[in-house]
Amino acid sequence: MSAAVSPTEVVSTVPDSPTLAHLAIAMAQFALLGAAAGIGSGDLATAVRTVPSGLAVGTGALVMTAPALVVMHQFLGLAADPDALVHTLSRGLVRGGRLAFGFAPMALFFATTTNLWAVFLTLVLAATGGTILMRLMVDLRRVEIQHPAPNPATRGFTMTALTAGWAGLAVLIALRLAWDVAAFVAG
Amino acid sequence: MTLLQLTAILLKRPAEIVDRAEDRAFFASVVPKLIVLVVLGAAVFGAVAGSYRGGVQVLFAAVKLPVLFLVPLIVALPAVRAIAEVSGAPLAWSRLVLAALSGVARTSVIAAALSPGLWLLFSWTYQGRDEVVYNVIGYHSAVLMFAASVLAVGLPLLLTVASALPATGVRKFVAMGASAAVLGATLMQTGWLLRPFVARPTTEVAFLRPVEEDVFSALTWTTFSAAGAYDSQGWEARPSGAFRRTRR
Repeated sequence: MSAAVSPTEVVSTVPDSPTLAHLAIAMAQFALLGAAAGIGSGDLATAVRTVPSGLAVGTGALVMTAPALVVMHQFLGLAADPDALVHTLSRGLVRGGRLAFGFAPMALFFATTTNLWAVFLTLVLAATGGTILMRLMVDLRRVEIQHPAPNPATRGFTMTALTAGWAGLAVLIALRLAWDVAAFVAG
Repeated sequence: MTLLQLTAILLKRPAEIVDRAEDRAFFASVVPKLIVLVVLGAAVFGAVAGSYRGGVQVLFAAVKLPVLFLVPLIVALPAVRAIAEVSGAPLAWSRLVLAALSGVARTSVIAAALSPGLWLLFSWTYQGRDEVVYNVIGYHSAVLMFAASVLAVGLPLLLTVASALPATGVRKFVAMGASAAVLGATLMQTGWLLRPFVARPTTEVAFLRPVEEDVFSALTWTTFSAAGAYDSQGWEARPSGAFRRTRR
């Protein structure tokens, strides 16, 4: 029997197991945010270089740190399947793409009416990254807890520590990538 | 449902309108009426703001104020929806649009109701010894009163949008705070683009000023100026935005 759903409740449209098409759309959404913000530079070359900026930072950090998370998760003897972790991370990317896409009209608005396009893009990417990381930490912990395991007592704490360490690494790598991306965009 | 009946429901129980978002026939019939309420209410409020300067500024401000209330919805609602989804409180477009439009319509109606009081303040004048007619309320005070009024009537908008969010607890608080920041920043920048609403009595009337700087730098400069810290070169509003190069 399904759980009762109130008339005002809307079920999330983020798929449980995102396909490659979902991930490609998420990447395109990140690129669209970069394109919308880049218009504000007033220079075609800079605008073109801005298109992949959000994609490079957001997706780059996730792709580079995901293997570390999965490997450490297995090494620590935690119970959830690696597939479940990867699906959760993929859902994070899909959510990140949607958030970036949601901010694209605002990026276009501020790019065309102010000189704050770079500041706005930086703020949106930072907010998107921070929000998605926090959401992922909660979701990854939930995935682990919901999975049956022989030693349930300590794995909640272990998973929290693991995801916190992983999130810290992802932030550092995102900052490092952002440094290079900023230099690339500035030409 | 007549406009008057809709106004009554909007002021007393806006959630009643938002909760019927799934009903397509109701949605199709109520949205145009809500837009009419926004345009009428905001135009009255704008006309009063323009009355500080008088003349054609009354018309200009009456035309611009509904735009000020509606543009942030177009620009910021996709972000608000994305924030709600990421916060774990996904919203259907129909519900979000109806909540936002109801909120703005409510705000516009309340703004229109406040207008006579604002007009009373703005209409006080006196004749100086140089036989020039001056406003009793100074220009900066008038701008502050107008801004404070916009902020005060903006609260019902936020409350109505918040009531549409299905989540509870921390998630709802986070989604609401982020949505308020997004809507607020867009409203401020739109206001800056559409300025002036309250114009100096001595200046030439202009429908819009050139796109220059942004509301945040202007507020920063004003704050420093108010504290007595003036830049030796002053603050010069330079052209800004994607099309600035074509104007140089």
